Amino acid sequence: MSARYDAIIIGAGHNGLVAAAMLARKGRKVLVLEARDHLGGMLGDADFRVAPLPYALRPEIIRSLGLPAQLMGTSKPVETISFNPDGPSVTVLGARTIGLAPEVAQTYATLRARLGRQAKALGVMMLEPPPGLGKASLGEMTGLARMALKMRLLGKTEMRDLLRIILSNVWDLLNDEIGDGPLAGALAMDATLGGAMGPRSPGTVLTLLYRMASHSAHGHGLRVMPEGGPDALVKALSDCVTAAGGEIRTGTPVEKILVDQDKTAGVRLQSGEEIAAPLVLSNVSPKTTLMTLLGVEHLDGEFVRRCRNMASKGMVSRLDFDIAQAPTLGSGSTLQNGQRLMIAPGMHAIETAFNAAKYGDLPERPVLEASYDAAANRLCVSAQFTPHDLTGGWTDDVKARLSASVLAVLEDALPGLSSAVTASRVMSPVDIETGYGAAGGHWHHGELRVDQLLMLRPFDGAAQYRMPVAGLYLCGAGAHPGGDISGAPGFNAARAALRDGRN
Amino acid sequence: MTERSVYSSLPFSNARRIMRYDAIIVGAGHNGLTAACFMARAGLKTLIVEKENHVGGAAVSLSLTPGWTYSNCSYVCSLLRPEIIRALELPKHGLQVIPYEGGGVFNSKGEYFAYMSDHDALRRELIRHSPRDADGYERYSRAVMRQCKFIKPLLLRTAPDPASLKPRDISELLYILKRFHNLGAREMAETVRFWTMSIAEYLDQYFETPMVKAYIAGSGIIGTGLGPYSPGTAYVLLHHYMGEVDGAIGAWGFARGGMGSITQAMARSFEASGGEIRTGSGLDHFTVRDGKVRGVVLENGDELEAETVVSGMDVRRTFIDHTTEKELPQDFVKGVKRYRFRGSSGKLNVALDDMPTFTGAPKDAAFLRGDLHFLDDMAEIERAYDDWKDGKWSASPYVDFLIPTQIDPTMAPPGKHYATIFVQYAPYELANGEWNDANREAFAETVISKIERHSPDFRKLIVHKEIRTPKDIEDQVGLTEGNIFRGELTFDQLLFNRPVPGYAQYRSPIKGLYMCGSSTHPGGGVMGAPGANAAREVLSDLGHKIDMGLSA
Repeated sequence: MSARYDAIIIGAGHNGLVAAAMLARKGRKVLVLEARDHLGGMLGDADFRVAPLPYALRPEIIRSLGLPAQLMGTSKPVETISFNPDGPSVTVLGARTIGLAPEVAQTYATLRARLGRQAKALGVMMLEPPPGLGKASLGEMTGLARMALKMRLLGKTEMRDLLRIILSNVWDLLNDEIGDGPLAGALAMDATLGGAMGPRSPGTVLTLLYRMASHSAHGHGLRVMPEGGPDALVKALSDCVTAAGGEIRTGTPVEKILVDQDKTAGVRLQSGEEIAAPLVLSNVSPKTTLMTLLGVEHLDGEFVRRCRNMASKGMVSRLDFDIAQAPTLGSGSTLQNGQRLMIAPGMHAIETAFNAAKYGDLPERPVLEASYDAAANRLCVSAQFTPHDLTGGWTDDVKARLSASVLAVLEDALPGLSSAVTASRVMSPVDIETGYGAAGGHWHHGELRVDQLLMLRPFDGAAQYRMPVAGLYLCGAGAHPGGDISGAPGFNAARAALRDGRN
Repeated sequence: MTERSVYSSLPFSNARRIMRYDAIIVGAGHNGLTAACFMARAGLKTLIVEKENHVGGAAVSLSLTPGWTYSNCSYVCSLLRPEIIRALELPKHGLQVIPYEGGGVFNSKGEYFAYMSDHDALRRELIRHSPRDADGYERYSRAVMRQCKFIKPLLLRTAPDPASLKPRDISELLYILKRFHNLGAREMAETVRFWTMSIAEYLDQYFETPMVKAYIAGSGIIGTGLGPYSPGTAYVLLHHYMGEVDGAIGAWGFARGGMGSITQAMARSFEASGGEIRTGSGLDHFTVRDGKVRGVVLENGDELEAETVVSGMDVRRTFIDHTTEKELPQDFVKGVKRYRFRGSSGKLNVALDDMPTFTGAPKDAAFLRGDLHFLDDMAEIERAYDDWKDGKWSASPYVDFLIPTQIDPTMAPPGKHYATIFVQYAPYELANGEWNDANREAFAETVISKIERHSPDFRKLIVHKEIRTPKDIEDQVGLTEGNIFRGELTFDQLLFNRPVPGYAQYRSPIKGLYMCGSSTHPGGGVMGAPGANAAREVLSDLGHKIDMGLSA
């Protein structure tokens, strides 16, 4: 077994591809191994995507990798339509809204601007490696210091406000500012989607700010659908890897990360083939990487305990409904490509949907994010809260029941939809777990919560991309700064590996 | 020292005459009394005015049926800072705290878990349920103890304003950061997690037995509008663990004679230092001129002058109900209006003809002298919380049930008993209608029938009962919305955020008007720390030497 590669990246999700491209462009000989037959991980399966609505890849990464600027920059930001059972729907695009009373619209715009500034101050940390606790180097401390400075620059009032709300819940924040309703529902969906928290859970303001901290040429917190859809994004990233000389193999699941004398030696594929490399970056979730691929025998007991205790309970199911034509809203207009429909008429509805999930049950009325893929004639729905550890397990009967209840909720906003559906599919958190190496079926590979962010992401002692076995790095959403389609974990991990290589 | 057992209706003239004091404290709750004691000791001519005919606020012992004394509101003692007990010489003035030995939980299968303060006994009991939990407990108690050690010195310090550039705020912030840094990397991480995690997830790290977790989890939700699965509840646990009885860290006890003994001892200490207390007439309004406080006008028309006025009331009552809004900056008013009370608990005080028996417990088991609960698991508490979110009292409530008369016989006639039953969750506002006699009884019935399932003779032993819904607690004790901590203990209302960012140092926008109640840092519980801290700030502003015998 000779080292033909400088680095192996496990998983061709967007973070893995970003990391691979970074390394390849620095002259490293890189091999990306993807278990599935398609690239792009949760973005990539054209038949049934986990993430049909790409988020904003960081502009710094687009620049750094020399990706085509129009990929995200000139693409249209995604508009949100929040269904209102008691009146006209509310349309939201950043601070702009349609369908609200003028005073509410103004209050919201002010709130959005304030949260945007606060999110931007926090966002400074996104492309910095998280500082080590108690032993932070000067370089690491500058990131924190910059964030502290940015917070001060917000001015006394906004800084105090940020320190008040930062660990608080969206329920209180939005009730204080704009009151419950479809607008609050849409914002609370953004704050909770993918996680195991309801709007009343403290910490949901932070997840909202977290979403808003991602930015694109259109400003903070806007979702962007690249021209050509998710496939265009995946192709741009993989082209970037191959153009720099990197190799990508699909259909090659990794069975084990090989260790020789406490150093990473390469990987063994499920086919039995062994490939040597001194550097392995895993885009798979931390739990899967460490417990399954590496193995507890290489880790100390306390480390294993902390890894096992990491919160990563997936709560979202994906459903696709094939329909002949674009679905029609109650108002008569059709749901367009590049729009997303939220069916969460208020925070109360979201909290109620969360109630059942806490005890391992499905909610009677899940809350939904839906988008229409015109090219595939498909309505793509994310439904929460549907717990990974469902009592009785995810049987076909349960999936059919979920599909029916989702369709019933959809029918309220898109009358006549049920009769237009020709086929449907359900992907549970368990399916996401088995299909994408995301422990717990969690979108973000681990709950985005204060106790699992920054120097505590994915968990204390594993926070700086470097794992206890030299040469092994985490480069997926489980690492700082976490989930969504930002590319930041992959970018940061590759930089950490490159820095180590120099020393 | 003048001997006076109960401050009932102090006679004073109704004639309108203006009296001058150095300082007036509004409200004779334990924090008002604590602040007053320190100020009187510093030589200020200090007056306390109190609406009720007795002192004590929410730390009172009242007799509602002949022969029995109830701890009507707060019912157990641990958090009262030992520094305050010493400085105010409370034992000399009659305070005696009797520690109780343990506690326990009964589940619906008739099993029990007994918590014991004796370490070896507790270990044996844990091993009976799960040897792993016995080991988990060692790790757990070490971790919690370290958190207690970290936070305790912060209780008797004024929280720094992180947005301020004043040397004092910066040095205090550095003090906290340095303490934090000195914890070392592991403990820093643990501290962040502890302050932000849910109690359920925190306990899942250490224990596997549902009853063990349920027993401990109660301390994470008592008094708050959160369930055990809500992030932030592990900190609330700490709030209940950082106390001590006679140096036994984390221990709880009964104040002999009920919780009123604490405030009675404080009142005696206050009078011994020359302080004056007027009961029977509440505050009508603060007198404010040119942005400065000049005194108070009472409901009975009495005008009292002082350039220093300290409000023991909560922030909403102080500034919305008793201050003219135009005297206050808009931002401040907005912050005060936003301040969250959201009562979540009720209480039953019950006179019992005899000691009730518990089907699940061995007769005369020692743990029955402590806090008893009736729970299967943490999910049961979470479901109780779900009811509250929907504006209903919990169908299967969390109860904290104690019979203090087993070790403090002063509260009931010989052979009879008194039970204090704290009940969570109960909403301040019901989704269906107002609180009235009928639903108050129905609420009590829910509680009694739950207890009856574990103690079949409980119901027939009831001689008298007092039922307190959050509405009653507000009306009768002055705790707004019935919140026992005078405001939620969530991070947006802790430290420099309590009660309003920028006004967390006991001073208000009105010069000379201070706050000393539990809606200031470090918050509720019969702790006395807000009162002591407020007194320190007042005295420092007045140029007094601020050594109050408190070691920080």
